[in-house]
Amino acid sequence: LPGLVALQACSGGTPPEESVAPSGWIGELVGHPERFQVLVEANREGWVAFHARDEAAAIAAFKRTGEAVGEARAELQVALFHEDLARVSGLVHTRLWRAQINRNGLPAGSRMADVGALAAWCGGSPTAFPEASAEVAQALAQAKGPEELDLALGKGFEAYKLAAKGDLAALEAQASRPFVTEASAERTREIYDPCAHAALARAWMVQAFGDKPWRSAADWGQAGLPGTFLAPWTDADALGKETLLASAAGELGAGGADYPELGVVLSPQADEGQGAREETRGLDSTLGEWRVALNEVATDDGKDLLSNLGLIGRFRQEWLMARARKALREGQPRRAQAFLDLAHDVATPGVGPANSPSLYALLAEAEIRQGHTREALVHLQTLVEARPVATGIRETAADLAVLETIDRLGDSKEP
Amino acid sequence: MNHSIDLRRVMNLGPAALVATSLVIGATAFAAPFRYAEDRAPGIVNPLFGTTMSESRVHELVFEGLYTDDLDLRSAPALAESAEPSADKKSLTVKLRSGVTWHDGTAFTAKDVVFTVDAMKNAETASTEGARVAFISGATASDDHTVVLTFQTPEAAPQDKLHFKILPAHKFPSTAVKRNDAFRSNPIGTGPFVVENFNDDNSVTLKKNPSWWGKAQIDELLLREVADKNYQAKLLIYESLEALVRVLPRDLAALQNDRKVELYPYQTNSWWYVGFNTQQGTWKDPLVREAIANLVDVDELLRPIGTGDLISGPFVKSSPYYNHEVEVRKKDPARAQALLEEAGWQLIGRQWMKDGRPLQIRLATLSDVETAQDVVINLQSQLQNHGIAVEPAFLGQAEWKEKVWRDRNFDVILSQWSFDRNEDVYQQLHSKGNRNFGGYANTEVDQRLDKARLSTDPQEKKALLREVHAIVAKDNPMLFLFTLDSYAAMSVKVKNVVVHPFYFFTWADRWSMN
Repeated sequence: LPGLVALQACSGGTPPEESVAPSGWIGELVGHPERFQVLVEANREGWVAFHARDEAAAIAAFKRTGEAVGEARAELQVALFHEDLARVSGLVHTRLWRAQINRNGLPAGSRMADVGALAAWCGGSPTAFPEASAEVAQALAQAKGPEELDLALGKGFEAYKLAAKGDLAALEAQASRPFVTEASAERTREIYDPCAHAALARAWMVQAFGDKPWRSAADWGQAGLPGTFLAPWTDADALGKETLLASAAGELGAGGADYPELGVVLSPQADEGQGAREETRGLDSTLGEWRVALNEVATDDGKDLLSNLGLIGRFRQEWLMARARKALREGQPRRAQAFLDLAHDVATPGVGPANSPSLYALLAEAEIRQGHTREALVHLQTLVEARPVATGIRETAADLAVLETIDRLGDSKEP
Repeated sequence: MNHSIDLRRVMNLGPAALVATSLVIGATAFAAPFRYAEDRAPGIVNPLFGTTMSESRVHELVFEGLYTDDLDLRSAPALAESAEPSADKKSLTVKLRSGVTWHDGTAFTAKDVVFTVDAMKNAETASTEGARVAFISGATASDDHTVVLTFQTPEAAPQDKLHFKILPAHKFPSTAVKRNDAFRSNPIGTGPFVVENFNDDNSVTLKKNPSWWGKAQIDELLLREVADKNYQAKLLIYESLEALVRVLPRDLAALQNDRKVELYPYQTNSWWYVGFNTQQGTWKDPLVREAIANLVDVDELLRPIGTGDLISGPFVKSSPYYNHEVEVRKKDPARAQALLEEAGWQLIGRQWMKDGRPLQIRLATLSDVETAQDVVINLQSQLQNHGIAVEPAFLGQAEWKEKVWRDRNFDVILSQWSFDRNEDVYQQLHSKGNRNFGGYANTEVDQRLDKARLSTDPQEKKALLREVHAIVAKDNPMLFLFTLDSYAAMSVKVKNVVVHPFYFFTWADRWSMN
């Protein structure tokens, strides 16, 4: 570990001077297209779905063929997606209900404070809503997880109990439908479940790693290409180091193991976008050299792989997302936003091979943490069109966006 | 860097590129300003009469309000220093920032604030922004640096409404301000940049205000009018510009892959529409409007100009107010035929006729918006295939403001609206709205818009405006078309860029250039 720490400390040094083809999974595939053939022939459907960001299909396909590492990696993607959404959910629920209660008080019979308390409890702040009912406060103080709750609140907690047993369908459905419906003026108020994504994230992590910690992802490296293909780590060695350096599974790639090889020069860790943009420029410079070097040595098949599958772009996006997660965890949303804006393939908008669903969840989080809730809705809407499970978050964020501008006068102009 | 240009590539771009090349060479010899492109230069620079985004962007550089948005989009003092609400929240005493001067050196005082409020409220001014001060019942200056604002009703957060730009009282003879007043081409503000010159080529030069209370980093800005969007992207790539305010979707891939350029999201909540003059002849009939809506393949209109979302109502799809239960209308000629027949029209030969008159659309749009012309031509082709003649009219800015904004003298228009994050469609859809060019009136819509304005319950406001969406989608005062994905592009030479989601330049004082 000390050696790795030293490696990380060195990452602020001079980028490599010579242009060389990468030795990791990108170089291996482009240099040896026959290995790609071997990889996909065994699990074509699974890897095609994995590349297309259709994790559900990938998991099903990998299960059929017994490709355990591919399956675990797809399950981790789903877990990270829900983890990313869980942070957004916690932010919008706690901000909305706190601001609304502060502004308008707590209407008689409304459960908004109870849902706020539940949201805060899921996010680790159990005392944020003293207005919650005594019944809810007491239950939250005693339970370790929502699956242990037996509250008469909204649609209840049966879905959590099923999820704890590995049946996730009911909880996924609960995330996209109103959890509590109550009268509000002449209409009804719809409140969504604030804990669903956190529970789904935990459940999917169990699917990915069983009872082992996420750092056991280091073992994937032994599987060869299935453990590295389309990943934000270059090879098994880097993955091993990353599992020691990174603070969370979502930050694998951002731990620093690859920084010297990637030409990344760390910028001052301030919460502004310019440093992140400079870092990314360093990365892009190296990736540009990789592209040139690979095209010089690759066969036609290798060149096709490189361009048709967008291998370098995929690595770049996954890597930048890991950097953004790290920045968000460190309380630097502007820095995260810059990484994510640069990661976003705007010419091919929407969830698909070019853009991960997590990218949109992370963009939404970065925006909301800067107070830009209305702007976050752009990303949440894109997300909902591909992943309806995010509908509850979109609606809650929409309410928050309305509340944040409720005292403003609008402006409209022609182009 | 400029010497690395591949001249063969430039020559292949045609005559326009030669101009670009000459500009690049020019840039080698002289320190270049921050140059940005607008499709059209502002017609006038006076915030009382702002109608376009390009005008608003210039206003943001030159003028200031009492409050502005900070980076977290919260109201932060600009010309105000502090404010104290009364106990009943029906008035606000605002202490003004001291030591502020107008660009001509005159001291900024409370009289300027009072003048601006009075001018905006003065019916003779006919300000397009008058609604922004409707909540203020009076403004008085207690002393040079204190102004007391009184409100029609208690205001929970009045600072949020005090972002309108303040004008210099000493430059106007009275509060009845005229659109064609000399100020429009010789404006002064208190902001970080001074309008130095309106140039012959429709460009505008702005210089850093050395007396500004803050500190801007960029010395000079140049707004260049470049109507040809294709040309805009090339100018940026060849470093003859530092920024494009709005990039066409078709240019996104090229610009994203250019290592000298960076893209910044710039979502102004814009949507395109065909607006009917519901007070005139044929277009009074909702059956005819609905029929037209059923004859248009909106996807076909969008595809040639870019990527975006088709919409079913007066909000972008990411809006809190967008009603996702209202489906985007699909082209349905059979339904259109039934509607026209119900309205008394007959298809005679290949032309719809009624009382001896053909069904004909005089469709007006702005002449200097290239993509709008493309859409008009496309629309003309689509409707003519179904027996409806379309007569396009491409209007210049002055004619547009006169015929559409002032006189409401048109049949049908094609245009766009851009909204800030409040997405307040009151002015477009309320019968008393000052941007309701088509004279649309529906009491159910009015009631909901009125109620939504007063509501402090976000769920209620959201529900009310989603109901408005559903109603207007049935009434068809406009044919709601699409939104376009929107990005700004900036040279990597420009550092520390943070773009305001609507006004663009709000935080331009932080930007710097290599």
